[in-house]
Amino acid sequence: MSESLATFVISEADSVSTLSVFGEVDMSNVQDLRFNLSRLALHKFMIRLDLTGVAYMDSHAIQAMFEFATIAQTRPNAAEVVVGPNSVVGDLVTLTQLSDVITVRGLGGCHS
Amino acid sequence: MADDLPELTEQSLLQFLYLCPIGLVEFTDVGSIVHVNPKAVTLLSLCLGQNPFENVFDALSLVWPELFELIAKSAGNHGALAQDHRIRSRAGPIESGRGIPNRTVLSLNVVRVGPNQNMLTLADVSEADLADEILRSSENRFRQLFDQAIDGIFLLNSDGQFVDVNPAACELLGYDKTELMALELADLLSGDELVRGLTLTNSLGYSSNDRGLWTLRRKDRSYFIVDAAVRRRSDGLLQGVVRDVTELRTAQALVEQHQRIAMQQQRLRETLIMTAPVGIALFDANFVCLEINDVMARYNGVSPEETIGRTPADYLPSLWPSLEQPFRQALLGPVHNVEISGYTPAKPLVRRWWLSSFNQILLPENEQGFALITIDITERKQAELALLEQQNQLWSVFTSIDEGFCLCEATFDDEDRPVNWRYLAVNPQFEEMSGISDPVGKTILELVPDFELEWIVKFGNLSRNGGVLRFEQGSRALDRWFDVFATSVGIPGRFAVVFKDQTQKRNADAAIVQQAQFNAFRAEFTDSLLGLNERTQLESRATEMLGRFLQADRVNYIEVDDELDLGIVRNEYLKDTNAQPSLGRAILNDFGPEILADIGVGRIVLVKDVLTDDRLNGPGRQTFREIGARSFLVAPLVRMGRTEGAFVVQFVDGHFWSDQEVALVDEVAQRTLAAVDQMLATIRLVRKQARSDAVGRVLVELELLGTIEEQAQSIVEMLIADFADYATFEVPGAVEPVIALAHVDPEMLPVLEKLRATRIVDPNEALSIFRAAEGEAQMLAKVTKSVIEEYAPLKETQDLLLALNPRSYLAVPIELGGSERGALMVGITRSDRVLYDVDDLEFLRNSALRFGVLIAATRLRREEHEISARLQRALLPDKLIWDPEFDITARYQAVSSFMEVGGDWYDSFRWSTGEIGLMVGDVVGHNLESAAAMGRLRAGVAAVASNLPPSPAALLDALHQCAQGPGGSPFVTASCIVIDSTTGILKYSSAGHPPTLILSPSGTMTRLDDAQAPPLTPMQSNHRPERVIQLEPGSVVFMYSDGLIERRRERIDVGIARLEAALRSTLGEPSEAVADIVLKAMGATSNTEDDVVVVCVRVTPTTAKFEAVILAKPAELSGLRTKVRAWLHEQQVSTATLNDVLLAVGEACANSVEHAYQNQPNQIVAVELTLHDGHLVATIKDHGTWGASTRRKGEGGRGTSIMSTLSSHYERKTSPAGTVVTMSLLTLTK
Repeated sequence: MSESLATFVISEADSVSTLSVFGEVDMSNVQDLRFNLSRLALHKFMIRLDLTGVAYMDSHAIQAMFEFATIAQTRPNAAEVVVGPNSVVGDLVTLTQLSDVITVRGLGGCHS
Repeated sequence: MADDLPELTEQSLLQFLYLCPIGLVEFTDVGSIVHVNPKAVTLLSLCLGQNPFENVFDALSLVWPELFELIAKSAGNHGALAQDHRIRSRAGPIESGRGIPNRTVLSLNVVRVGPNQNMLTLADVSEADLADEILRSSENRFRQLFDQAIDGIFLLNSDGQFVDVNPAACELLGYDKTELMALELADLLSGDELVRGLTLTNSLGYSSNDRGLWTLRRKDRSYFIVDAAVRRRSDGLLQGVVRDVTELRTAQALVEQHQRIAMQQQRLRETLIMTAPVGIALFDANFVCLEINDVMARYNGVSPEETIGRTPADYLPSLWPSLEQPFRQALLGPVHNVEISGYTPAKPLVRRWWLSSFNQILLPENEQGFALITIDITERKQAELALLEQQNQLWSVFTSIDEGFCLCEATFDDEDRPVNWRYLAVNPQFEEMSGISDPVGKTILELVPDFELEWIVKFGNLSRNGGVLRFEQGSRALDRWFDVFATSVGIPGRFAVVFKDQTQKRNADAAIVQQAQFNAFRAEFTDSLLGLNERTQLESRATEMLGRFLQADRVNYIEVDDELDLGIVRNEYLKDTNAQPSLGRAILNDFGPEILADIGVGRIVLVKDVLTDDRLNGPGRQTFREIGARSFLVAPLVRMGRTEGAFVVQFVDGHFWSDQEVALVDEVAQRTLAAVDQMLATIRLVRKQARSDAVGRVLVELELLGTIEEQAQSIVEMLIADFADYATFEVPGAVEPVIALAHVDPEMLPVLEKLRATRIVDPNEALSIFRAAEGEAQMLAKVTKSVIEEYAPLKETQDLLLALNPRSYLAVPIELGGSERGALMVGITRSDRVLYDVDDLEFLRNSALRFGVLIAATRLRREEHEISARLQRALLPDKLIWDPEFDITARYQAVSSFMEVGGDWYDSFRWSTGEIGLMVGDVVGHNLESAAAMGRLRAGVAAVASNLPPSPAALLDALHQCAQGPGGSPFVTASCIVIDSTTGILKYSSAGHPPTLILSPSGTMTRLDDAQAPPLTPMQSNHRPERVIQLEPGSVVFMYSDGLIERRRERIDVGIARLEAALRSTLGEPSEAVADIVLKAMGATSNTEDDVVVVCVRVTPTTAKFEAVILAKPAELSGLRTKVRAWLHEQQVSTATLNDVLLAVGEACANSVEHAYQNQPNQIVAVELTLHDGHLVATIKDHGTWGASTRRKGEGGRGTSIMSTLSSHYERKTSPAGTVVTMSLLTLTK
């Protein structure tokens, strides 16, 4: 296997800072996710975690996202997570009720 | 005219009384005042010194206490009872100007003018009396002079004895009066004067004055000379006035004094006489008028000049004859209050009356005389006479009229209610008109004890309140009708009545009129009750109409309970809406036992007078008085000998109850009852209709119900919907005797259950369901505590019965067919329900009959049906072939309730080459023949099948041959399949049978409808099609007969589509479940019209397995996921399933990697996945020992939670050998 299962990209557009993740996140690379999430949290605008490019994610990643949500709640600007419809990530987010602590878009394909 | 007469006469009488200047009081012997005129009132009040006074009677009693005693004593006398009784007022005020006390003096005369009728006249004689008084005081003054004179005065009789002496005389002679009176004149005279003295005393006729000097001897025998004036008085006595003239100077002075006194007396007398307001005249002993005052001169109509010095015989010759007698009496002594009547010269044509008194007086010259004091009572006399005349006229009128007349006095009780009257006077026609004889002095109730109170109240009120009454009315007591004119007579309590006996006229007229009225009322009453459908409305209408028609003051409808303990006023009519209502009151006890007993037996009770009726007890009487009922009638409503209620018609002032009225009230009572009955009957009819409908509905329902339990439950539930509060259906002889029970109150159901369970062991009770089950219908219309105690000897039963509290009870037998008999029992517990009657019993009995017939019939059918169904099952194979590759189930559903046997069948075959064959078919017809034919066909085909190739077409041909053979059937449909278990190839063919369906594991439905041939009939078919299809593992093949899908008025395509939908819902289920679910969904489990066969084959699915072992390192996980994902793709599971499995397995492996080995190198995790028939089982094993310390803080077991949520079953077993996680997941294929 390559060194990292996933690629992390942070971009800014229209006063939104976005962390886009591509690949898989499990216990082997969850630290990368944590690192990039903490970077994202430093941006002053609205922040977004885009998980539509994630093919697999486990409970370690979910744990990291709960931590991120706690940080995001202390920021003055909004934060959100975007998941792909009918994806493993979407199932997991639903199962763990992440949407209780942070805005999640893309669940069940209802949102744009 | 006769009617007006008493009023006019009475009025004129009254007018006269009012204007009369003399006080007039008419009163009865007992002191009741009939008439009083204003003058009498004025005079009495003057006399009493108070005005006004309470009543005349009291006033009279005060001024003349003995009056009524006098009246009483003189009972029976007629004419004057007392004359000129003088009464004087107490000292009155001084009338200014005259200086004389204005004391009122009345002269009272009492005359009895008729039976129990007395007339008192009061005349003011104050002035005349004053004159008398003055004279009397004048006399007293003479006496005073006599006593106090300084001259000695003595009176001697003709024998010379002293009659009287004055103190001065005593002193003069030295004797005290007693001594002197014992002496004679001779004892005082000296010798030579003795003869002179004797001559003086003895000489008769000596009347002139003798004045001279006499020598008299004192007690001490000394002599002294007196100047004596001796004079013979008219009474023959010698009066001597003597003065000691021993000293002349003193004597002279005395003479002068004497003259002066005489002068004074004269003046006083003249003044008094001349100013007195009454007539006064003084006469000497020869009747010569000495003085006369102006009043008397006016009375006489002769001037004083013509009078004085003459005698009345001279100047009043016409009067003298009536004067002479009293004048002569006056010489002998005082004469008082002589009534003198006659004509005077001044008014020779007017008769005049005077009331005169004669008082003796001493004339100035010591001569005897008298004073005549007179008042003119002409006006009074005229009044008296006029009154007498009026009365005579009145009486003559009353005695001459044709009508009855009476003057009466009403009497009242303590509370001022009229209770009676007394006749004061009646005319001769009275007896004839009234039928009452000799009434005067008696009361009406003495004469006619049951006389109508109404009259008494009417007249009593009239006498008290005044006015005039004119009416026609009947008296039952007298059995007469009267035309009545009654008037008050101005004296409270008195009234006069003129009446005519109208009985005969009345009887004719009234009977017709009343009858018409009553008939009109009857018609109106009956009409108005129509259309009312509530009992209270009926009673209320009847109450009101009765009250209005009879003009009763109050009409009550009372509801009476069984034991006549309680009678509550349910409806009330009140004429006066302000009267105290008695609605809701319990009044039965007020009637007292005697009346109550009458009411109880339905007898009409008439109480004419509440105050006197003996049947009423004290409190009852009081109650009726309080509500203001004086007379009442009770008309009971009687049904079947029992009094249910009563109308009570009440009158405040009593009432004349005619026979027709009594009959009418009774009729109203009976009609009301009849209307109630009719209404109840109508309601009952409507209810009966509703009940019959309910029974009809239940009967329809019963046909459809399979078991007697269901039927019984349906029946008891219908019964409690309207007819009963609880119901039970029992078969006492059965093992489970209580078939069904129901209670309107679900909470009471356990009590009922327990009771029924208990009562089963209590067969001795007289009234029981056992008796009903023996064919005897039972009714207890009214269940009381004592009944319960009597009929349920066991304490436990009693308690339960009391808890259930049935008020009314029915039990009827119900024939169940064969020798079995059950019982249907119902009861009412709610208090607002009507108790059962015979109609209800009849209804239940009839219903039970109809239920029984149906239950018996369905039972019989069910038994027969069971037999035929058993037969048919016997004809079908016990069990189907068995093959490990196939899961096969067959079901046969018989026709539910008809005595029919189906011709459906199924069968299975096996070939040695590994094929299996399945066939479903239908022999047309629903009878034993078709069942038998089916049996033969099945046996025939089975016999040849093994020699045939494994082909459905061949099997159908064989079947065709059998069907056409002996014992076959002319019309058979069938469908046949043959499956090769090794290749999964299915061959199929159908002969007029609905298409076989195939459901693939992915849910795809295939209809095998392209190998159809016509049904197997005698016509030979040349071509029998046969098709082939490849079965997937897990596929379901579904064969059936047309009974499953056919519905009346429904195209067969629709039925098949429904079947497909039902079949689709069974995806993944084993064959048994598929068959059951489909049968249920298609409604084939109950009430089917046709029998149904289904055969369900499930091709056993294959098992797929995945095995992998990885190093326990995080980096290994990604590669494992890639392998798992690929395998799952291979198994064609859905994306959702793939994600779930990936997550669950990923988490399990991550756990092992993280926790099992605490980073020990070269350890492994083994993963095994098996997929079978849609179920995926994942097993993840490691050999490590999990350390809790390594668990990440805050992780919170999220991984475990994810796994258990995703899997239908999650299990983790930890042992020293390691940890095994097992998860089951349902999978869906693409």
